[in-house]
Amino acid sequence: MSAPAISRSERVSRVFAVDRQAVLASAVALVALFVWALSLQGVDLGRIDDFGLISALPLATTLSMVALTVSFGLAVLGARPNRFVLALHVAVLLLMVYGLPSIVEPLPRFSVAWRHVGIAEVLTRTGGIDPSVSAYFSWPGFFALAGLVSTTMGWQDTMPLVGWSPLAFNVLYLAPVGILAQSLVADRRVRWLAVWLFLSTNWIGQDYFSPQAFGFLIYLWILALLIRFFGREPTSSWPVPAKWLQPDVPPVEISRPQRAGLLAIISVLFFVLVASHQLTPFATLASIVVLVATGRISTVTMPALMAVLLGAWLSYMTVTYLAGNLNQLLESIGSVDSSVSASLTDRLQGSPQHVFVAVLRSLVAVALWSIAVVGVLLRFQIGRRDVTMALLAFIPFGLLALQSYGGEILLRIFLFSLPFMALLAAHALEITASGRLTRVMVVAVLVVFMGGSFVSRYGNERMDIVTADQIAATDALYEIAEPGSLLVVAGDNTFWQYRDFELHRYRKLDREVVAGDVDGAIDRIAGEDRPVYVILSDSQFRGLALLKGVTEREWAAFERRFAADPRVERIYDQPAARIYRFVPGGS
Amino acid sequence: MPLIAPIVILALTMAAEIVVLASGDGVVRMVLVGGFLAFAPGAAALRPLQLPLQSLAWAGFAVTLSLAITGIVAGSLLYLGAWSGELGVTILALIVVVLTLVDLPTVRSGARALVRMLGSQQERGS
Repeated sequence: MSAPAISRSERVSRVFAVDRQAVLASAVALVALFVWALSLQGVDLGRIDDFGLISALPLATTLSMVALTVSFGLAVLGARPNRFVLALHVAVLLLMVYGLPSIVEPLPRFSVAWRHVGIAEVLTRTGGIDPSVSAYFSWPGFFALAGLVSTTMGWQDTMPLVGWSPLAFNVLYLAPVGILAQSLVADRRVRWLAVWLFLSTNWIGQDYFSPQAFGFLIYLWILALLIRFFGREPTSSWPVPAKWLQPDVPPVEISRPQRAGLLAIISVLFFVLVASHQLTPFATLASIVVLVATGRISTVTMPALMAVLLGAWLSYMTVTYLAGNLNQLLESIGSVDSSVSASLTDRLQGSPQHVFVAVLRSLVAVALWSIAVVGVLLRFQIGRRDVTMALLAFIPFGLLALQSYGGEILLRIFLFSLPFMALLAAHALEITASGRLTRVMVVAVLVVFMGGSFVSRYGNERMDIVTADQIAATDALYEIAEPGSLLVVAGDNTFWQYRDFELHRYRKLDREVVAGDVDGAIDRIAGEDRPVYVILSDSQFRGLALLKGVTEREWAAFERRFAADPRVERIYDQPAARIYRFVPGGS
Repeated sequence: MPLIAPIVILALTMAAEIVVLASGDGVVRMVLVGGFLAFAPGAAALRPLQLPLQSLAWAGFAVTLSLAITGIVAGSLLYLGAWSGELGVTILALIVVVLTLVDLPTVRSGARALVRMLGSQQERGS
């Protein structure tokens, strides 16, 4: 049966109509980018308050992001979405969301990223690995990689990699996320919507210069490759009925040598993952076990091989870490309540604006998950039975039973489930957007997600931003403190440990500062037989104010009383930070 | 045409090796060494597989695999106590050269012929 014939003029007018829409959408994206770039001159970092980076942005910056989102929504839900136009929107989104801090802030942001520079610096300077220094050295894969890159590039350290890491990682995430979308979903609109949702709702900020950002990239690739090239239509009806796993997209066939080669590569990727990060291999393995158990992929021996690699690494290479922490790790298994509490309720504190941001973060996550659940139901209603996406979206929640992961387990679960939640949510939005009004509603949802996620992502910017005078103070500390010294800070938000990491010992006095307990703080450093240096900085105060609600008055009172102790001697005094030497017998 | 990609990969490898061994610096070093580390090992490992992937996805995979291979080499150097940027790049260059040579059409057809020959000899022997 042939398609009904259409006249030449009709064909020309159709092409023209499509082109006109495409040109219009592209123009909006480019104008939004132009306005956004121009508006950045008006960014005033001094205005950042506890709402985060959004408070420093001119209105034009925000409006250009809204315009881009609306344009994308209309383009993707239009009659014939043009992939080049959609790709242009995605590229602009990447720059706007993930490139922004590197453009407007003077130095790479986020204190933990600075510490990671220090870990890599130890490896390149000493040329060896001493697992007794820190847990980082039991999983050194990412830091070894970064160290070799910086050494061969002729850099002093890995700092040049830090600033643009979020943008680079998110660009790299696109390929496996695209392959996952292509392999799991037949509809092009849903795929593009999913990619957009993935990028615009990823507020948790785990894409900085870190092992977990690199690990997530490998996680995505392993799942993408297995589902794309080792997918199959299940025949068995156990444990999930086979008809519920019939893929929307037929698996791609490859030859036996190709399969063998690809399996070798996947094993290499998993090995690097195991050597780089504690948690991600478990999330990867859990997902693959479920895919194999449900018959959705054909590599039945892969989970066993991965389990052996993971077990071998844990047994031989992390002995030093496990010797000191095994009991604590085992005790936390099954403590779902404390994991949830550490990830959720413990974070809902601090200044009122920060609590608002924290609530917003939860709302963005819950909204995305809820829409994803609706997506599962709507897919069933229209006869698409493949539950693979739903399985992969909900498997990471099993990590809650493992441990709280320093109060971050829910964040990591959000990240691991995000590609699949985005796919399911995209289904829900695409199916819903059948009429003009519903299309407008879907575009509004995209705008809300974009806004909510952006505010959430950069909601801690008051403490995450780094300034040159803070770094000058830390450099001064490293020049003053002799190797073996105890370096003491008042809070986590200190930009330090980016050099000489293993040469010093570290302590923080955040509990004492929050309680206003100066005597307790002195007690915690008084018994030391090594030189003790205390650095109190504005960045620490900003962190404590944001997360713990410490007021300027309380901070000043603490520092005044601390400095008044006869055993404390001020040896560096700048507006951004003060350094004190603690002399047990008094100066 | 099939030789262009291997030639580019080998040229990049040689250039990176020379720049590192000659302690060159500046933008040239950054471009050559960065390009080599980010692309060459993964591209050399992926080419023989000829996976049906779109070019952008293939490039993304090559970058990820390059980082993974570089990570393994870097970690091995650290655990062996043989840390050296020059040695790291040299090992990576050797890996790239071997993988690229394996992928050359003459080597592939030669390998196939060798396998056939060994197979037929084995049949005669039995």
